[in-house]
Amino acid sequence: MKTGIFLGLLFVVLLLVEQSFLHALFGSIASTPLMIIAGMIIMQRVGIEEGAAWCIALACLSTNIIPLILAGIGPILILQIFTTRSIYALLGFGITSYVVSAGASLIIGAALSLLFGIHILSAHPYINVFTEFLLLIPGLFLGILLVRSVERSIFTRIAFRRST
Amino acid sequence: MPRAWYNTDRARALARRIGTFFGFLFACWILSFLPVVALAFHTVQGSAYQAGALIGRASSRLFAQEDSLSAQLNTCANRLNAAVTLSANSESNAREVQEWRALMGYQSRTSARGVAARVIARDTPEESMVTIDQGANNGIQRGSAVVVGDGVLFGIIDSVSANSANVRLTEDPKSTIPATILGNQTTIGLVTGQEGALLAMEYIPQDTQITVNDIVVTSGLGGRLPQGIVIGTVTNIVPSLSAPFVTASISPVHDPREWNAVFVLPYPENLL
Repeated sequence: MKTGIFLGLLFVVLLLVEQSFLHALFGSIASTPLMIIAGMIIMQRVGIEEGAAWCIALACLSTNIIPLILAGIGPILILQIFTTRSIYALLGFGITSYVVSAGASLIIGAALSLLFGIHILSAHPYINVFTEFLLLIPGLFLGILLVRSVERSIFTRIAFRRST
Repeated sequence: MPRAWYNTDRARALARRIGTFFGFLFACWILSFLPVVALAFHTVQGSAYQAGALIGRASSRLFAQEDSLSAQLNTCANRLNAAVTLSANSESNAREVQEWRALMGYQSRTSARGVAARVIARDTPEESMVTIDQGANNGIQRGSAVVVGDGVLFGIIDSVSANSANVRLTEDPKSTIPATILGNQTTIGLVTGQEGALLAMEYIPQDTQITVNDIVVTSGLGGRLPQGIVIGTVTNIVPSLSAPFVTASISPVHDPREWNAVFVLPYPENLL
């Protein structure tokens, strides 16, 4: 239950940071997919189900279908291919899942637009996807470093308490 | 009998976690409808946005191309060029306005009918010819006098095409203009161009009264040019004891090469 509340709180805070803080920055940095990065890290570090729930919740808040596809293929990739919890596995998982999700979303968006006239893609979808992809890699790297440092500090405190 | 996957402890724990997660988000969404919570949320959101915008502006200023030294130098150079061009245009326009005003003053003073024109081309200094932008279609005729400023002789129309005309300047060596001294009509001669800016008034009879600083004007003899158009002032008199004539050096009132606005007087027979 604590995990759920913590993830919910983290979701709200990161959403606030992405929507208000990151989007106010200049240039391409404003396109940093913070919530997707967080979802990928949660999916690998916390749990597949939690990560999928994160992505589904994210998909509910936006018209972008990348998180929804990520929620579908992410667990498969983690269970079948990127099974370790290393940084390289996370980067591989992030890059693969994003490429697949973005490609699928572009195909689905183009198909919906051509067949039914429903426009779910942004004005410059390829530029946005490419920019997000370029920012995803350093974002994942920095994110996992941050998570690891937090985990280490927590474990150190717990170990220190037990020893005393 | 094995338990179903949804009946395991792990599944229950997972359901609790996921349910708590979505429940928390749902609670936040419901709470956001409360004015107090919405106000607090908007305050935090606004602060975060302000912070992001502040950092974004500072960062963009830091990395912006227009703030680099080379960019600033380029901007300064461009502004300097623009200022020089503007200044040159301004001076040119002021000069042209001055020329047109002088011509208007001359026209209103003499009630002369004619055609205003602009110099559009200049030949080599040896030829001392210019081209104006008015031609036969505008009533320009060969042999007409061309004046500048307050009525100073500029030259004579040498050839005319449909929309332009060539003017032979007074300083041209091939130019011969019947002239006289202002106020002393008995003094006659022919003004011709010389090598350089000075003119020469030749064939002045020996017994003529002529002094330095006399004003030389057209005499009107020959019927080509109107009478009384200023040519220049006498600067030097060259007496010749053996020859029946004296020669006077004439300094033009204005340097004709400086003028762009001209006024073509009608051919004398058209004045009638």
